Amino acid sequence: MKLLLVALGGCLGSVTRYALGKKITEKTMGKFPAGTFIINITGAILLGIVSSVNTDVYYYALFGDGFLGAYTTFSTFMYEGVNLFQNSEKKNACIYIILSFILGILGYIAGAVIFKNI
Amino acid sequence: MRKYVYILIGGAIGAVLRVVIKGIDLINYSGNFPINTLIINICGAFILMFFLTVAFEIAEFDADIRLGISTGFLGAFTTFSTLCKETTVLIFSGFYFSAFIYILLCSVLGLATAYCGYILAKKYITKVTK
Repeated sequence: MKLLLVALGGCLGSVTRYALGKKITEKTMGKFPAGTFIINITGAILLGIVSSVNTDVYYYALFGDGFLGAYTTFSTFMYEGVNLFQNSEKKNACIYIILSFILGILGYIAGAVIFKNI
Repeated sequence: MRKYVYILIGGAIGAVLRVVIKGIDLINYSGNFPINTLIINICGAFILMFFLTVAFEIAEFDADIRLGISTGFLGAFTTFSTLCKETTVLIFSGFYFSAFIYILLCSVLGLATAYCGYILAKKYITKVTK
């Protein structure tokens, strides 16, 4: 049952990442991978919220591991990072990677804390 | 339309596989370091780079299937949000050094293995197109 919920969340998360990523990339025609960046950061914030709202196993399987786990991605993050380095975009590459980690972690904390204060 | 079906299926399989592997208790490992997620993410980064490098080189590779495997499966298999959560938990538990090492390994190993994927893909392509 838990894995069924993860699968359902995974479907929705990956499709959302594709559609949203495509839309963001169309609007920001630059070398910086804004699509994955925005998706990963918003996903981290949302996971912070999800994690503090409820501790039910099934709820987390669907929204946490399922949807947000699939919505955010590490492989695409690394793929784009290496591409930036290969295109001699060393500064953009470092900014992209470092900023993703910093904002991702701060985002998760913010999401977890904000909900607790409502 | 077809590509959404592939991404959907790939996403479901990727997410489930991730959760299953994350739940495996490695023998004799009782630490708090999120090694399962690290292995999942690093492997995913390698495979994605290898696969996309090869797929883009082969002109006839079905674009929809490519999306299903890359954006769908591998995108869902790896995760960034879980990584952020795990690092936060390490920090708030006082394991500052572990948190630092975790981020360091994710980034350095991630980039290094992805780059290895690229190199191996190029070698594979030259071998196959001879």
